[in-house]
Amino acid sequence: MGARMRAVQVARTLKNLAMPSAAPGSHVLNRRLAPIMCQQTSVGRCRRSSSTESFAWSVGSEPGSSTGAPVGPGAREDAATPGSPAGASGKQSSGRESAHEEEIVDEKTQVLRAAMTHVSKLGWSESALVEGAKDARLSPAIVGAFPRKEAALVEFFMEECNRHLEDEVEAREKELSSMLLAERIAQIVRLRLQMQIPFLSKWPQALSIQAHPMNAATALKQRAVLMDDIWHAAGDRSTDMDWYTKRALLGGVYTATELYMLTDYSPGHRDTWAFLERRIKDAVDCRKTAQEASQLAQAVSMGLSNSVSSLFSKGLGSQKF
Amino acid sequence: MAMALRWRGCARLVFHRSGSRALHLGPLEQPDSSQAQSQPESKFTNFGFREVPEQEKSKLVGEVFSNVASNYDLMNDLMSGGLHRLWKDRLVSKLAPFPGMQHLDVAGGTGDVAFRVVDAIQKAEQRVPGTTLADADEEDQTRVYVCDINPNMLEVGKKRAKERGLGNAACLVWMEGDAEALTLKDESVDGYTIAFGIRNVTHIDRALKEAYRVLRRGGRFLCLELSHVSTPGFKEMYDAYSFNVIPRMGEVVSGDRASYQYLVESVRKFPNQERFGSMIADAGFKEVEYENLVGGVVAIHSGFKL
Repeated sequence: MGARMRAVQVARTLKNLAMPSAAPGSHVLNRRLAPIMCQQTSVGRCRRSSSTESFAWSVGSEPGSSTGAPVGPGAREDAATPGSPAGASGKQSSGRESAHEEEIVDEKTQVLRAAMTHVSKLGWSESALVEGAKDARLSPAIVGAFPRKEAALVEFFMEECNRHLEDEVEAREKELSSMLLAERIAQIVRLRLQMQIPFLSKWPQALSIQAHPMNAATALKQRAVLMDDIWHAAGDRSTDMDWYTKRALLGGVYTATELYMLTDYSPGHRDTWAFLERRIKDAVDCRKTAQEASQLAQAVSMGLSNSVSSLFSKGLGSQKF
Repeated sequence: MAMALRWRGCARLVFHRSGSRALHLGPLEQPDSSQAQSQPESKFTNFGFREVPEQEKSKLVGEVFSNVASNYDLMNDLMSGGLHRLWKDRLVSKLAPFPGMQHLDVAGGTGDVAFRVVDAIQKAEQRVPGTTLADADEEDQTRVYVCDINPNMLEVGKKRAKERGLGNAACLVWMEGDAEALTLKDESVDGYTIAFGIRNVTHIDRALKEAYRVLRRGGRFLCLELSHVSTPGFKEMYDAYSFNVIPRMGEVVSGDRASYQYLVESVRKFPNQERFGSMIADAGFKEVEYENLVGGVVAIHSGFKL
């Protein structure tokens, strides 16, 4: 996790170097382009290995590759062609990647996909997987290939949604870019939470599965990645000290809204979205407050150090005389 | 610690012991044992530490089983300290049986594994009401096939089934058959287990191919077998136990030292975890993995037909 985060940060820093004025929403493509572009634009700063790593991560997190293969063949190929023009090779790479995704739909993924259709009835359970296997015309014994059973299903759904979110955001790029940052984030969180509506009645079960110590690590990672994706989609490219604060704040807002939604029976989940907006407003205020507090602290410490040093100089001076 | 236990398996004919033991020990013509195992066309195979012509192995193994049959359960418990029950439980929990499953347990004459599978399926049915046997089609009905080459072992299993109240259960099907030439149709079962049996099969690769053939896509192969201990210290203890204690124990309990000598020797001749794993992969199985129990005294190998 730590290494990955670092890799993401590296990739992001490089991306900022490569493309300082990126439009919000185009981050998906950017992320895929990043290694290729940085190899061209800032060869001096970019070690090949780190770019490969970050690129591999973005491929590895595609839900298509549920086997968890860290580096898809496409990734290696792309990373190994530094000389090609950025635009052209970028298009090629994303095309190749999607072809790769389709190929990689192995039996396990088939089962998970089919099982999703049974979740609203059977819950996030082994029986849903068994039914899914039957639908995929595979022997239900394949369920044994998922060591953490229902957790695999929840994780699959999370990944699928996270990927879907990227596409959604890409599709709404124009609409989003005309919004304020807070609105933009609210909209993206809403898009993401809407994906869970079909499974809302079973979502508490999914949350409890995710909270299980065996699954918590993966669940946390997926959430961290989701927060990352949301900030990215919102067009935030900064890598300053706020990086963790922002993600933590958004994580709090997202989780609070997710929980609120579970007991929201208002038509169209109106209350949830109002709740979300309020939380985001709070968070923005909180960030401002934090910034103000840090500025205040700086001012105070400067003032203090001034007075201390003046005291000292006075004290020393008085001794002299 | 435990050595163990389940010898089942593959004996077509029952020979008189003293007669066959003297047979076929041509020291001059002994090929390397590992070659003998990896090449199906080779004419010799191992029987314990001895090299015997291939066609003799099944007879010799059959003889072993008829010798030990009467005290089979007792000896299993004695040798493993009762652990073999836990190993079999572990095997079945890995299998995760589900209602409507078609399962094949090879070399399972005494029904140890089959009964556990039936129990697990019944439990699963209770957990998931709605998918009961009653509303399933005739073809979808849960079936556990118990296959053993040795009719004596099957008789033991049938007797125990009656004791457990499963005497007339439609879900249990007892069949006499060879692991290398199963009578089931292609792609007809969801699960295949073989517990303490594959060691006694003459051509392991053929048995694995048969397993692959009868499994449906997505079906699981599970093999519980005595395997190799590599932990220093523990290995010495284990070897001392198995070469000194077990044959003597066999002598005292069932008056048959040779059969138990065969048991401990055949375990040493069996391919180690890694090699057996690659043999399973060679038969076409995917996601092959193994789990060592008690430091490798037994290993559960698993593979999927995808």
